Amino acid sequence: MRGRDLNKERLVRDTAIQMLVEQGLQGFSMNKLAGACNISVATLYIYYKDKDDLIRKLGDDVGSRHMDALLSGFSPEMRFREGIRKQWENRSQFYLKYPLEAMCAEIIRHSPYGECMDKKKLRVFKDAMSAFVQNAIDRGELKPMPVEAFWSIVYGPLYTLLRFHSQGSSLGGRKFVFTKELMLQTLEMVLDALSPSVSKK
Amino acid sequence: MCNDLSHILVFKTNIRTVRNKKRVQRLLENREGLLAFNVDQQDSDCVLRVVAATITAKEVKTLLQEAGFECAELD
Repeated sequence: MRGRDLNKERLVRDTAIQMLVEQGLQGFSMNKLAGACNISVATLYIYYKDKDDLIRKLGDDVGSRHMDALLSGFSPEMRFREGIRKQWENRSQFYLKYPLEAMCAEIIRHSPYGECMDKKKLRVFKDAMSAFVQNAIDRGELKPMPVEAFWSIVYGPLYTLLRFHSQGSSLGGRKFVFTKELMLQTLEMVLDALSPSVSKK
Repeated sequence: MCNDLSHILVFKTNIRTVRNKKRVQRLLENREGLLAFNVDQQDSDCVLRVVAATITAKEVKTLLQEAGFECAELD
C-alpha cells in the first residue's frame, strides 16, 4: 500500500513555490518540478491531478497563510494611522520571514488561478479592509479616492523597499538592508501625504 | 485526499489532441472499477491519471493500446 509521505509533499510544495517565483507560471511544468525535487513524475501525479490542480492548491494554501498574517492584530475599527502601521508591520514581517511565499501568493493572486484562492478568507480580508477605509473616510482621516490610487500610495513604497531588500541593493546597485526604522520613516511620509489636513495646506 | 494512494495509477501516453482526449473519455467513462481519470495535456508526457477502485494498471494499458494509443505506466 502506497502511503502519504509528508516530507515529500513538503519538498514538492516548497520547490514549486521557488520555481513559480523564479520562472513564473509560464516556465512551470510538472516534469521540471519532478526533476527539481528528484522524484518521479508519477509521484507528483499521485498527489496532484495536474499542473492546474497543483497551482490551485498551492494558491489556496499560500494565499490563506498570507491573508491570516495580514489580518493578525488588525481591526477595521482602528484609527487610520494605527491600522496602516499594523498593515505595514504584518506585510513586512510576512515578506521578510517567507519571501518566496509572499511573492508566490502575489503571482498566483494576479493570475487566472487567483479566482481559486480561498474565497471565504479573501472575502473576510476584503471586507475588513473596505470597512477600515470607509471608517477612515467617515472620520475625516482619509480623502475618498480610487482603490488603485489608494493601494499604490499606501503599499507601493513598502513593497519597493522590500524588493530592494530581497535584491540586496537599491538604486544604482547601492547595498540595501530593510530596517524597521526606515520603514517607519517612510510610513510617516505616506501617512502625511494621505492626511486631508496636510493636503489642505 | 485519503491517506491510501495505492489506487492512483499514472501513465505516460500520446493523448495529445482534444479529439484524442475525447476518444479516451468515451473509452474510460462509466468503466467499471474506475472512479475518476484525467489527462494532463499541458505536460509533455500527456499523463493519464486514473483513480482506480478495482481496475488494474494492466487493464488500463490494454484498453488504451487496443484503441491505438501509446500507454506506459509511470512509477
